[in-house]
Amino acid sequence: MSEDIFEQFSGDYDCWFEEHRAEYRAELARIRRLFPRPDSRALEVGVGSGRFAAPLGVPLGLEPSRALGRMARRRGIEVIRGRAESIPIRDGSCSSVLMVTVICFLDDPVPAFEEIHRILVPGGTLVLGFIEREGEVARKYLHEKGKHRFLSRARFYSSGEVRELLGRTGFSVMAIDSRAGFSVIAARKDR
Amino acid sequence: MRKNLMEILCCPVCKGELELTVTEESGEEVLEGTLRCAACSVDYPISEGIPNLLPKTACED
Repeated sequence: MSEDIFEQFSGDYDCWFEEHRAEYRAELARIRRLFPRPDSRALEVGVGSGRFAAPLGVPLGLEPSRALGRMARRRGIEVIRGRAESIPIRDGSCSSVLMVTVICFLDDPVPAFEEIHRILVPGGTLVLGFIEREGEVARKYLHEKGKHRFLSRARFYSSGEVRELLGRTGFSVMAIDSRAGFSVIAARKDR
Repeated sequence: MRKNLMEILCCPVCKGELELTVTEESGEEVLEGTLRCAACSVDYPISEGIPNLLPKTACED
């Protein structure tokens, strides 16, 4: 599983954000624009080392990797070790969910979207950040040694494919910011 | 994990209730302990303040 690589190279993963500060800040700013003001029931699925949840004020994170989850906890996030496809949270418990550069590492994003739909309150928001297939970012990272380790087994989707999967799992797309091969989509649970 | 996280946690497999057993705590923070799903007969550990709720079935124990 691709998550083993995050366990083994957790330090390298976290360093990427220091070594690519401009890209990280640009992604963070774009997510901040579409992510509603997080309250005490906001969750990041695949919180990693907490590089997005901490500055955005998301209090809760789900993460399969023990090493990355410990880093997020040190950044002040309440971490639950678990998988996006089997979220250990009760129905209708979360006001909003953030998921950044996660769907490319899942075998299938549909079970994860279904689980997020289940845990959101009616009208709750899912904000997704993802690298677009054959976009600028995907092409660049595949030629970059450090990130290649994490992305070599990734499966990328087009913005249209992601919108179709969201529609199929009960979300309506509210806003799309698709630029330079990285998309941010805000979707609402509407049924 | 804070004890009030129990309000939203459930079993990752059957989504049923979990029973918390605390072996080490600091105020409202549970540092070590167990979350048991009676329906699945599975114990999920809490270690260094992080509950491990990666899905598992009784036969994996």
